[in-house]
Amino acid sequence: MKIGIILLALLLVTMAMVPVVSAEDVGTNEYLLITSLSDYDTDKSQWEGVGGMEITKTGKMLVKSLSALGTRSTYTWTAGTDIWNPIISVKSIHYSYSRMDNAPYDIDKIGVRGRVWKNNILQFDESSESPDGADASVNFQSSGPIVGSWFARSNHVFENDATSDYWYPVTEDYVNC
Amino acid sequence: MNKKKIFQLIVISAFCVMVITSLIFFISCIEYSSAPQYSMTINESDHAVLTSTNGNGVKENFGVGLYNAPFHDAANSMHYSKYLEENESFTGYLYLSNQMSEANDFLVFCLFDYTQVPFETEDGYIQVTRILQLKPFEEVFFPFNLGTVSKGAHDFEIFVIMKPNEHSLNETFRRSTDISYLGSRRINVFVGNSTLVEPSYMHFDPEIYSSVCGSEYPVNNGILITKQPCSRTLWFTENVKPDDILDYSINAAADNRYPVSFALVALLDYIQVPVQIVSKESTFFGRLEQGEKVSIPAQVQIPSVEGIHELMVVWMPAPYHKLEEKPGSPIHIPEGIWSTPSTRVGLNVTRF
Repeated sequence: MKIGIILLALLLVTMAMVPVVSAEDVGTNEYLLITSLSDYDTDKSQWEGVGGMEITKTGKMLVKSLSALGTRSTYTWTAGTDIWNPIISVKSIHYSYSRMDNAPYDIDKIGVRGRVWKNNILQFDESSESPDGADASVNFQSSGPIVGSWFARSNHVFENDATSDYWYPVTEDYVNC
Repeated sequence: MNKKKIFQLIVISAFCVMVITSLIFFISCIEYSSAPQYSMTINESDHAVLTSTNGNGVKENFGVGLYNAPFHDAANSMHYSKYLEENESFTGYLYLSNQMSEANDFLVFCLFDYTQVPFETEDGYIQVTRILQLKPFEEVFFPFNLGTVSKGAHDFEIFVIMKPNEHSLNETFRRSTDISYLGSRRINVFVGNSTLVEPSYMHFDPEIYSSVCGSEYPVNNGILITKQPCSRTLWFTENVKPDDILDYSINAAADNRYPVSFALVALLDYIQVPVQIVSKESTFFGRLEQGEKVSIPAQVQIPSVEGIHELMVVWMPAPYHKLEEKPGSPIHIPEGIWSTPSTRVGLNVTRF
């Protein structure tokens, strides 16, 4: 009988860990705005700090460098949307960054607008634009029930007037809980 | 086997089933994918080369630019302003680059002082919209001519809309149009010695605009169009009768960090229509204080032709702001000058 009671208690604890299923879908959400991101790292554990997500911030670095021959090196713009579910919440990051030789390469405007939908109900909408910057990022962390279909979308901005390049790619990601 | 053991066996079995169910739930819910989805390299000759995409996550990738001549370099870029003599025609080249692995259609239209205007193309046609078909990774220079413009300081913005001929009412497609499939370039146009004059902004009197969305409303520095005021639910289609008037809401919000001024235009099948039928104003100018979020009542006259019609609203922050001190030296505006489209709502017009 004791074994039964113990197992039953364990069962209840296990069930309590499962996020609550609720038809009500208007839970509030929290987010931190990130103005600079050192580099996108696929190791998400670095984003999870006390009280939510924390990302190391870096100062802007001007790299508009020329080679010894006076020609400019190539530079790369990277962007993405990532939404995932670390068991008890849903988190997303929406980022744009500009790099030359793996160092921040400032451009006239870099930005991102991120939106997150849950079951077609808007949960999050933030934008960040950095003039003369190399990084822009916003992120989101849910609170409340997480069961449902989550969809994250980002509209990115890369404008470099010095070289007349203006790009607005869109990325998306989703997770079902 | 006595009753006690049978009971223990049942409990243990039930426990195992629940644990396995929970594990399956967690495993199916947790997703740890991820590398950047998009990477674009700008080479030494200033050309963009799509270097990688991860999976199917990149839904839109095209570049736009405004040039005085069909050369993709800074010397020929309009940057953020153009200076014209009186009676001089406003001409230019739209640079458009489809950096996607499939062919795409792009619809081009122009707003001059936030009003849609016709433009002449190289083939002599004068039109309000023009569709360009680009092959995979193709880039083009598209010449346009707006004719002479009046003396003074103006705002000009050229828009490119991707997938204009997609009329599916599929929810996934409709949701994907939110804040997407639109690129634009805005410049100040100066004719003669002129300075920009800000428009008369609508102030949101709480007695008139009773639908003040609370601070918890998720939109920031932008809009969400919905069927009901301050709703957060995706509105992507509506069954309507020909010639009816459809009410909807443009939920507009300032950012939590700074006030915004903005212009709103509504487009029906990509042609500008009044935001509010009563006022008949083609453009709605507004200003919101930091953190202010309101719902603007809007109406659209439904076309008389049956079929699927496209309704969308474009949010344009900071109208009539000077964009650069001198060519190539842009002025930073907190709310940006980044025009953002609403969801494209598919109006299903039938005589039901």
